Amino acid sequence: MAIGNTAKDGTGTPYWQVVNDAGYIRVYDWEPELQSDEALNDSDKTFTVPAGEEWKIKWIWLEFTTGAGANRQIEIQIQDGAADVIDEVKVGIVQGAAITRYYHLSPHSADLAAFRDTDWLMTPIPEWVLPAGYVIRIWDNAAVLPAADDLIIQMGIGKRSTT
Amino acid sequence: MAIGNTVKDGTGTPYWQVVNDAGYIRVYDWEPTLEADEALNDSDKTFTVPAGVEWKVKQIWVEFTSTAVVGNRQIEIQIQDDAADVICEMKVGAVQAASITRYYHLSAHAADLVAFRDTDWLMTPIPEWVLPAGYVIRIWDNAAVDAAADDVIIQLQIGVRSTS
Repeated sequence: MAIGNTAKDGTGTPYWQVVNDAGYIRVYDWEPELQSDEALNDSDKTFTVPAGEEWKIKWIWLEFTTGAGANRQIEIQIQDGAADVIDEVKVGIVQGAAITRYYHLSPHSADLAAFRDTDWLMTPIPEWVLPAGYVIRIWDNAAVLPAADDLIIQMGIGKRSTT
Repeated sequence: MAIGNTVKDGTGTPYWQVVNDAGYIRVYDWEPTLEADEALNDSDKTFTVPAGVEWKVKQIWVEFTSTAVVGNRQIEIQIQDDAADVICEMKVGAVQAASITRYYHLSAHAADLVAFRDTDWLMTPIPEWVLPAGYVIRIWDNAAVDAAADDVIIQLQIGVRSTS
């Protein structure tokens, strides 16, 4: 096998291609994908891993605009297929009323306890690998204005099929 | 190639199987698995890697409710080899007093908090231990203040792969 050689099915469609001198094949396991929820007036959002898939959480980006009221606490919660909480991560500082703040969460982040450049915070999270039916809940756990605060979520994941 | 087709070695042992319409192969490496122990009245819990598999420890979540017995609890993660020899230990950054509930998140990229955040939550870094069969993960109050009455609920997220 040489670089560029392919393994094909009976119709000639290539599925594997040699990509280095060792003749390794590329395995299409964790395909990058973006999961978004940009709906407004909601600060309690969930993502459920669909049947037939596994998700690896790579990073989470939040844009959080608050209305009036008390301090908000952003939390990432993981639930198993029976809605049992099996893990939680909380960011390092609360967010007050009537402001917009931005949160980056990823495995190699530092754990900031104050907003940088006025409005930006980062927090470490693990690289959760979640089977079908598991839930990622991203929410203000103080539930100050869950039906009025605006929480926009962008979540970079790896996805692979289990079927 | 159709779903279910396999690629085999010369003895007929299948090594790869087509798993979707695109004909991709999937490598069955580390399958995500949850190991839970929700039994109450026990603050000294162990998990043993079964025969024929390896475990990669991804995250540990501990819900710890202490009784009124006075004394500070210290959560510790201990790794033992298959001869029960302690080969590694990690300790969280704050102790827990009597009659309260606290939550602990431990993972490879966590920061090392020395005070509870949002009243009751602590995170602590641990390595991504890869453990062969017979190795033990012990999660316990190493002060053993009320070991048969404190409630320690554990959710252990691991990757599992076969070695057989």
